[in-house]
Amino acid sequence: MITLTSSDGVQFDVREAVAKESQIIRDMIQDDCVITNIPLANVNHKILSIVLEYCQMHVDKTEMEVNASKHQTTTGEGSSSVPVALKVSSNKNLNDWDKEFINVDLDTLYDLILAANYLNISGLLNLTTQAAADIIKGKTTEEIRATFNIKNDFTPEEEAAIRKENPWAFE
Amino acid sequence: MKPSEREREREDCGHHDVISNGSGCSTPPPLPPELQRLLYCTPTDVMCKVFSQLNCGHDDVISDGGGCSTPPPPPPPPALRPPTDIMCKVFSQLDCDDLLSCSLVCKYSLSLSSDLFFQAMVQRLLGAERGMEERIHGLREASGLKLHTHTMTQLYSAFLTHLLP
Repeated sequence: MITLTSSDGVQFDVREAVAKESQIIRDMIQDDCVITNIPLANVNHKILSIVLEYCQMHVDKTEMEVNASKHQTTTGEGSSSVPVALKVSSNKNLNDWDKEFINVDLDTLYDLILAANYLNISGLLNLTTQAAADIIKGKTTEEIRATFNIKNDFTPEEEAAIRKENPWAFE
Repeated sequence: MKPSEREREREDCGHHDVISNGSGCSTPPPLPPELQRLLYCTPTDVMCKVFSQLNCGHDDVISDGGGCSTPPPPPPPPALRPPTDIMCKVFSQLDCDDLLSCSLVCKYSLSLSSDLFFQAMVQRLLGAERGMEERIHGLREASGLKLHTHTMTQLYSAFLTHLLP
């Protein structure tokens, strides 16, 4: 077991496999830089618990697949199509779970992006950035500003100039 | 100020390593030992509590007795918190219509989206093609244009002129 300590001092005991979903922690362990306790200065306990939930689920799913695959091989039922079907079904479930998992408010989503970036968890980073992109998709400029609470810092002249210089783009 | 006057001022303040600009010594005098001990030996949380009770010296700020009540600056919008490379990752998943909407949100989003917008536009026009990234990169190098929204039209024209049959 490895203990991860959040920026606000909360400790989480996790299996090594779960912690190693993070590239940065994987490197630490491989380089023998750390044995048991890893302080994570940039992630608070609320976000760390969500990140660990993601890692736990993905590790569990991977292990289930490996075990099922081994079982197929040892029992001799291993026609090649069965593990593939299992994997497809498993991936579908995992994708559904990911969609449900990432259904969070904006503040949490951006904290998750920062945490995934800091911990270098590529799957979570892809998932969170895609979710942020999905929020933007199909929205007008004004809707994006309202959704993300962004102040328009263009002067009317600047905005008009951009539109004027590229009229083909704003048609 | 003449050099001799400056020398005299240095001697006056007692800090020979400090260069004065003529308005006196710029280094504060050392704290008394008792105060140094108080500052360096008191736990941080206790010191924070002490400092929170002090008046900030802003006469225009209403204090409720619990320290300075100057409102903290508002946090940046969540959308602008992630570092630029992460924002680029988000924007890279948008198509050119969405990038166009993003480009007018604010100056920061314009800087992020203009480059990606050009790539998305080219990909939409010609379809995803192998080696497209390298060709676009080569065109950028050849044209020597800095990618901003106002140059996108020029770059787009250059691309069509140079690369399309």
